[in-house]
Amino acid sequence: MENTQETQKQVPSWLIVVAWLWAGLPLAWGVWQTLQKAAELFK
Amino acid sequence: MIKNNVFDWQSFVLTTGGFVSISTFLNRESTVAKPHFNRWLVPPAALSIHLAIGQAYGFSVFNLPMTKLIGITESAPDDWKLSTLGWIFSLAIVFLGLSAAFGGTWVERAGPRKAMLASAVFFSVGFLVSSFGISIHSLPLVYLGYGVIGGIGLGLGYMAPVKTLITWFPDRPGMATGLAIMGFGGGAMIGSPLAITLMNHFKTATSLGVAETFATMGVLYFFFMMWGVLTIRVPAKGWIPDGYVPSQKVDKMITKNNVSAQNAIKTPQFYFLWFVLFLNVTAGIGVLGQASAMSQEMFKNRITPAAAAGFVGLLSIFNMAGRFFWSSASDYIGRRPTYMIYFALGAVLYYLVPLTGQAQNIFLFVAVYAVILSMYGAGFATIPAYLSDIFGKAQVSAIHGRLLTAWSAAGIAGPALVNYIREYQISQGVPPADSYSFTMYLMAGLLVIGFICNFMVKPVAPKYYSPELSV
Repeated sequence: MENTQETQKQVPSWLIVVAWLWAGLPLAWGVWQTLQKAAELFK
Repeated sequence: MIKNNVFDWQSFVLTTGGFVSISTFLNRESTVAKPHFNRWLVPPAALSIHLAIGQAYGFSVFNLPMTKLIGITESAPDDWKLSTLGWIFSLAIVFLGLSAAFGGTWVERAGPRKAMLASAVFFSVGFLVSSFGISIHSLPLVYLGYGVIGGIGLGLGYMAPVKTLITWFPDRPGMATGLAIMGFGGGAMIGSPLAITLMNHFKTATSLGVAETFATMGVLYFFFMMWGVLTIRVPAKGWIPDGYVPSQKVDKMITKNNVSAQNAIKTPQFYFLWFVLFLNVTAGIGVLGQASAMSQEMFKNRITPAAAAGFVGLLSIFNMAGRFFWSSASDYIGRRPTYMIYFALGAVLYYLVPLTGQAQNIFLFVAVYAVILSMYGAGFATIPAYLSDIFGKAQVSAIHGRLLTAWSAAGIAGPALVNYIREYQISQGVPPADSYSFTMYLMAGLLVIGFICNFMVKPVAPKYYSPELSV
């Protein structure tokens, strides 16, 4: 690994957004599916 | 190879030819972040592991289809029985505990990237071996696949990112571990509907599509977890967040020393914390398994089986959210006071559950249950930060791994306790709807013992410190 030759730039913002979407989208889908099922309780 | 802390596949393949550098890439040294690395890239890396392995909580979605693999529309004589299928999940939880207990030191040494990759490989291979087992109708292969191999993946993956998160967020360790362990609570919410969708997709007139679903999930989860493997970083030695000034206030319950895993298990604190986790999980797991049946029997003709399934779904959201909420709160109110709340408030709420049934108040019943489940999940999420406070950060993963045996023990004790007490009561003529009351009072009693164990947790004696250790 040539870590010593690397530039010391910040992690790009888009990568942070992609990272959170990677984890967040499946979770949001799962929560939505669960909430739809949970709605039965209040019918 | 790593530009701006992002792995560069092109230079990886062109300059190294692959294999030699894979081991370098996996080394702890290669995961050390450069200055200006954004620590908010780390929680999603941890989440990608925990959301995947949290699928285990939703394994029951396969139970019914796996009892009809031969008969398709109904169970044939040679089909597997539900009672034998229950062992798959139990084995997975037992191997989670064993791999956490025995693999913790390796995770500590290998670093998060290698441990996360091992978790991804074990978890995915577990699915693939099970898929093959289902296709040739061999239950031992399914036990070996999902139960043993997959279980090892669960244990390694559960521990892998915890210490990394604590070191990236010294200002908010509870929030950081809460975020990751929230993923484990939420994994079933993705895994269950995903499995149902895939089984419907692969279903034919002669197959329920279970083997294909296992194989697909094995591949999907492997790629999903690889995001975490590729993006995880550990902070450089001595790194602290910009603007963070460690508190000068002396808090006896937060040590500045380190205790090795070997020494930690010699301290009374470790065993008090073991019982803290064991009792919190025993009580929670016991009532979680009964939630559906209890709601239908306490509110006859008002809560239907479909509504009860919705109730369990709602509880899983609170189980997940509680991990983040309470664990984050522990950063402000302290770890020991937070567990005091779990046990004291929990005991009161368990005691109230039968009363909400007698009052036939569904809203109160749901609300009480939701808070109970939020604190059940939070017990898992807050414990790594508690261990870090008491034993120091240096070997917190290894200590956490050993403590997770409490989870395996509770996984057996909780449901057994609840089921046997209920069966005994019904055999003695107690009406089914009333049989839950005693169970709830017993669980409240367990939480009182947990309260005492938590109260007994004091700072570790200096003779157990390991000055040679550093973070």
